[in-house]
Amino acid sequence: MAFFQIPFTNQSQVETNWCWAAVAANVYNAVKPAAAAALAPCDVAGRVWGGIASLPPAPLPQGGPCQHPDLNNSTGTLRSALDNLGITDGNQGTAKLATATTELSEALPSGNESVCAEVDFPNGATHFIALSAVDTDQQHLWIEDPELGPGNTVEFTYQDFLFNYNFSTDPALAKIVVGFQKVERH
Amino acid sequence: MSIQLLPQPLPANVIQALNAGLPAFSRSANAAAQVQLMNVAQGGAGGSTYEVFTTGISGVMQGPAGMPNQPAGWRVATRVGLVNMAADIYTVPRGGASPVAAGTPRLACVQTGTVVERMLLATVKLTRWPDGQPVSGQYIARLLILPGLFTESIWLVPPSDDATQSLLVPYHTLVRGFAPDMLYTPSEFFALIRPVAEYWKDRPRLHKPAVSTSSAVKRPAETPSRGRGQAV
Repeated sequence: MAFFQIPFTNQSQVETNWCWAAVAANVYNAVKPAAAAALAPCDVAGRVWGGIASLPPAPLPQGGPCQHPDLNNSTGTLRSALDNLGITDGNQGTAKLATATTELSEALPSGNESVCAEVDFPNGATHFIALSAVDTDQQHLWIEDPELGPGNTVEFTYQDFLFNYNFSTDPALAKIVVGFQKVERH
Repeated sequence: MSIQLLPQPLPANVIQALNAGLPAFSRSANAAAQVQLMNVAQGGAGGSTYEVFTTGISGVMQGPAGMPNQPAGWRVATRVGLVNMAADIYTVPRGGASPVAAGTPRLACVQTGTVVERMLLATVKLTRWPDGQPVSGQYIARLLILPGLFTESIWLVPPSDDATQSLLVPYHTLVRGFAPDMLYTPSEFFALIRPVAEYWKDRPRLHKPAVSTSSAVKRPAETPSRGRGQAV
């Protein structure tokens, strides 16, 4: 049986619009150098909004997302967060089991890596989650959803994850997991 | 009289699907857990079963009239040792290379952890409300899950299946304003969820494959906050 897993702590996104920051923080913590400090979702939101791409940075409400998360409950993109952390590995690609298997099974020295996934719910909401394990024989994935928080891992059949995550279904029966985003270990 | 939860037996084909699917989930549900899940699915003690319904943004925007009437599947939940565990049997249709027709049950996932624990505890608490509370009577305990809207609730529906007389107990939510272990009418429930649905309503997808979208990032000052105490 081929089972590949990466140690993963699934911090809660805390705010309704912080899935992008939570997934970025969680996958960063899974692939960061051992000596580097772990990041929280609010740290990532603060970094992205803190002016990496704009000069001078605009002041963040009430001291920023870690001090006042509810006042900073805003959307962002996973890509911007991964870019900010320097762990982006290429552009988001089609969701494929082979991608998850390759990334989660990579051997040292490069090491294995988590994979991010974008879920476009048919009702209009967009969500990000991470994958922490794969069983290639059963074709199952282990989902780390920041909505659920730590210790709430979900083992999913690959096909139902792609098409029906969280009891959803697209009217045209299309995939609702629209892409996988690879990350790069430091 | 307090709240009495009426049993809702799982259909035979749902039990069959659970039984057929569990061996493949042996990493999350060991042999003892599989036996316990099957026992609960067949009406045994030590857990709960729920028919699962979902609604999305359009349903929430309709308010209580948007309550779903088509089930999406079933959940069987139990506690095995220190592990709280739920098996979800989907009945929604599936596309792709291995299509499944609507109504065909299959075991889609097994979830462990604190969210399942809160669901089970909320269910037990409902039946232990002391007599004399404002809410009493017989109900069927369903689940209402709002994909992308960060809320899962026990949905208490009277035997008449009149959704307007139903009650909701959110056991997991990221939406501000809900109090733990409280019963909400559909109107009260949707009033709290509606701001999140409005946020996503008609909002273009931010994230497209193979496109660098860093320019799409919104600073907090540019985007209306939906935090506690905000006007909606």
